[in-house]
Amino acid sequence: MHGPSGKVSVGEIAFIANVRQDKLPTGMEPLLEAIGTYEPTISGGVFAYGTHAVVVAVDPDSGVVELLDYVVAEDCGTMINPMIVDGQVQGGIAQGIGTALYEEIPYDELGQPLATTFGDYMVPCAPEIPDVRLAHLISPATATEYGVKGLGEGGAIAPPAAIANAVADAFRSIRASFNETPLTPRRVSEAVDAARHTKDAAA
Amino acid sequence: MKSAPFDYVRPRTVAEASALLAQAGVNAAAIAGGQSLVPMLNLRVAQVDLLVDLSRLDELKAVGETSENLQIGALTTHAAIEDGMIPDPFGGLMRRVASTISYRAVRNYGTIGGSIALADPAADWTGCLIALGAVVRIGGRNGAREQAVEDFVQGTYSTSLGPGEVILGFDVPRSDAPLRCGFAKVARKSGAFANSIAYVVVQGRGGLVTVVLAAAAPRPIVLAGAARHLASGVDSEDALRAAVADDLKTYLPDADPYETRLHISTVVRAARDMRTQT
Ligand SMILES: Cc1cc2nc3c(=O)[nH]c(=O)nc-3n(C[C@H](O)[C@H](O)[C@H](O)COP(=O)(O)OP(=O)(O)OC[C@H]3O[C@@H](n4cnc5c(N)ncnc54)[C@H](O)[C@@H]3O)c2cc1C
Repeated sequence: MHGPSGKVSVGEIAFIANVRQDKLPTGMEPLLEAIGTYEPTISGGVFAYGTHAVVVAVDPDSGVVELLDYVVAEDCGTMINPMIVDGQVQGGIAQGIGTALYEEIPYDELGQPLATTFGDYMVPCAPEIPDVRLAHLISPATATEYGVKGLGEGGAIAPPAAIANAVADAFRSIRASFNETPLTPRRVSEAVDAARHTKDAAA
Repeated sequence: MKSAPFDYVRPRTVAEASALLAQAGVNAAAIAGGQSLVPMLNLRVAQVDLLVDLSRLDELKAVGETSENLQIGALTTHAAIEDGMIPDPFGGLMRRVASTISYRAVRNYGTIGGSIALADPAADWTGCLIALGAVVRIGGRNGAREQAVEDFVQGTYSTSLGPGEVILGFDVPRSDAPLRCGFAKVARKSGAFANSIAYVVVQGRGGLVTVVLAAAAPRPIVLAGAARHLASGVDSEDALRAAVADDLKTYLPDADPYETRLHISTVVRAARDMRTQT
């Protein structure tokens, strides 16, 4: 800083840059703005790791699946804002539960779409989302500044696999298989029924 | 979408409302909580010239209790029932049923009278009131009449309501013996209309048993075989399943195998729920 007093407060700089732009030296752009871009040395993608575990209760007759407990351990490297990390994982899980159990755009045999409003297109709401327990592991990425990794996918991708595996585990003894999402009550009940018939036929 | 234009009146007496609703050449509809009618108007599946707002008709708000009946005014909201603002001499059944209807925002406005008048096959109150043996009180130009809810609801969106008639309220009979009531419902998610609802009402020990299955057919079905089984005192879930399966063959011959399993499971769970009520 050059000048008679040798200093100027940050507040004063902000005030002049934003409000008294007439006081700026000629040719200087108003407002304080800085844009920087950065690419890690390995640019193929630096992903988060995550593991989802879920406990479900399934009624074999109605086919209703209830989520009793849901735990996620994730590693997105250094957490810049832990609150946003938690929120992003939670929101991703809500989206993933939608994929696993609710969201679908079916068509009838004439090609008419059957879910054209949110009355028919099932989106999970707060009552459908369990209190998810989160654990964080922090292994900083070596190839990025601050050791950060991607995060967004961590919540949304795993729920269909985790939930379908938990449902399959509930019917391990009869080897029912669940191969289509969303796991609607009808699909679950029909898969259990098919497995029961196969087992009866084999016995 | 928004509704096509309509006129609006808010009469002060049932006679006035009745006359407005029965005008020749005017397509008029009563409106109570608007939780079904307004979405239908906005989606333009319903279109009216005149909305007759029932909300100022005190006669439709009256709630009272005699030794024989609980009287519930047509304008009583789902939320008022959920919150215990009216007596529930039916082992808490009505409170519990109310709390599962849609979302609280809908329950704050939606009324029991509107729900029965609409006669949506998946509605919660029709089956409940039939299971409790309720009677609907109806007012019109030619005075008042009464009818069992079971006969009043005739099919999908179809009732015995004639031109100019409004539902005044319901009389739900009390029994001498304490009621034990069970209830189970399956819906795709919270707030969604149900795919199957079962009600089991037992008067005292060894008393009259009523089993009603709703959301399965255009109107709720009274399951006589399941009721006979539960009245027999034989405590076997397998036998109950068989009895419900027989009932379904009679009353719901077109049910596919999944629907059959679903309805059997809601009846069995409603019976279990009834047994946990003291
Ligand atoms: C998102 C959503 C979800 C819902 N989910 C459920 C659910 O899970 N279960 C369920 O049971 N319901 C559900 N409902 C419907 C809700 O319960 C409505 O409140 C109820 O069906 C209608 O009551 P209302 O007072 O709002 O009637 P309105 O919408 O005002 O009227 C409905 C019909 O009844 C007539 N009517 C109203 N009152 C009278 C009267 N006293 N005499 C004669 N005719 C009358 C009207 O003319 C109209 O035809 C849902 C609604 C919404 C918007």
